[in-house]
Amino acid sequence: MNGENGRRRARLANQNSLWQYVCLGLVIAAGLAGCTPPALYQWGEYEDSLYRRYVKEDIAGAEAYLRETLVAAELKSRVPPGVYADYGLLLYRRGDYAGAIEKFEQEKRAFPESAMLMSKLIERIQQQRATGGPTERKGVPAGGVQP
Amino acid sequence: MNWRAFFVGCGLLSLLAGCASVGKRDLSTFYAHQPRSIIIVPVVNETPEVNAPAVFITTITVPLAERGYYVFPVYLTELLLRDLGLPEAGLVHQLPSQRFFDLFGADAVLFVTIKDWSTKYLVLASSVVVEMEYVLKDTRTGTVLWESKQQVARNSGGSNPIAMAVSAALNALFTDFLPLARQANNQVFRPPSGLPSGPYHPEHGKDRDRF
Repeated sequence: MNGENGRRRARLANQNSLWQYVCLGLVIAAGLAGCTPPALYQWGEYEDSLYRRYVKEDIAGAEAYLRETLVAAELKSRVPPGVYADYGLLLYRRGDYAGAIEKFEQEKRAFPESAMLMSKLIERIQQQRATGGPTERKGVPAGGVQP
Repeated sequence: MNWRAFFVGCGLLSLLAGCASVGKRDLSTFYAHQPRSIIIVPVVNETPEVNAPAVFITTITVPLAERGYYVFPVYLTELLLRDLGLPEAGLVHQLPSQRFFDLFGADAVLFVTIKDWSTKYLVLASSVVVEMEYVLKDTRTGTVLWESKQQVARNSGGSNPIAMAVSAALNALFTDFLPLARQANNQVFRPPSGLPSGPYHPEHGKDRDRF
């Protein structure tokens, strides 16, 4: 009888401490999270790709990071703003005009805010292809005063 | 003592603390021209640190886009401006805002000026400081929609003067400003003094009371 009571008490105590842990966990999580909402996008290596370009001036490294970012983001969620366009630019600079146009189109579909700029870029690439014009790979798809 | 109630109480308190809102600012101009897209143009550097703009620009896209705005890719923007004969941030900042609508179709343009990017030495300590000024303008009217200043400092100090002097010298060589720039950009766009959520944010239009 006594033993039975003891076991029940022990069980209750166990449940109680379980609750305490759960609550404690919640408190810590709330404290850590504060008001930070979950991220809207999967950014992957995007900042690294920018750092490669701007600080290290390593375009090949940047391209690899950007490609990883894009592939991962396409699998998991919405592709973040600018990533398709950014990748399209790198394809353009490599001379892959068809690939660049495709990426600019994707940016436009994902974010209509970019439509005007993307259409301009696509138009310029198409003009360059039509005229067999300058295969300027360093700059952007433009009339090209400067590289 | 009821532990459960106690912990739940603590949890609620910590949630409240996290959301505490400070003073209101007048965002009526902002709401009147509520932008969907923002273009970040090359930053003006008022410090002698030549690397500062390059490091800084890599850390601003993510926090701004996470507020729910379409952010034009900064690298593409810079190349296009250069192609238009505007290789210098100073020149870009003097352009009429309307140009950023004509050229890019952006609703708003964000001008950032780096005010401080340095390691300061005190007698027994050193501190690393970054400070930026942010101005967001409507591209159709040129009106200032929002502005802010953000400073982040990290101090290191110690009790042993010699060790301090050595570590200060090492810090100067290897100071990594990247985390400070990132911290500044992570803070500046958030409530209560940041930007109201943009159209891609679930709280868009519902967070006016937090600013």
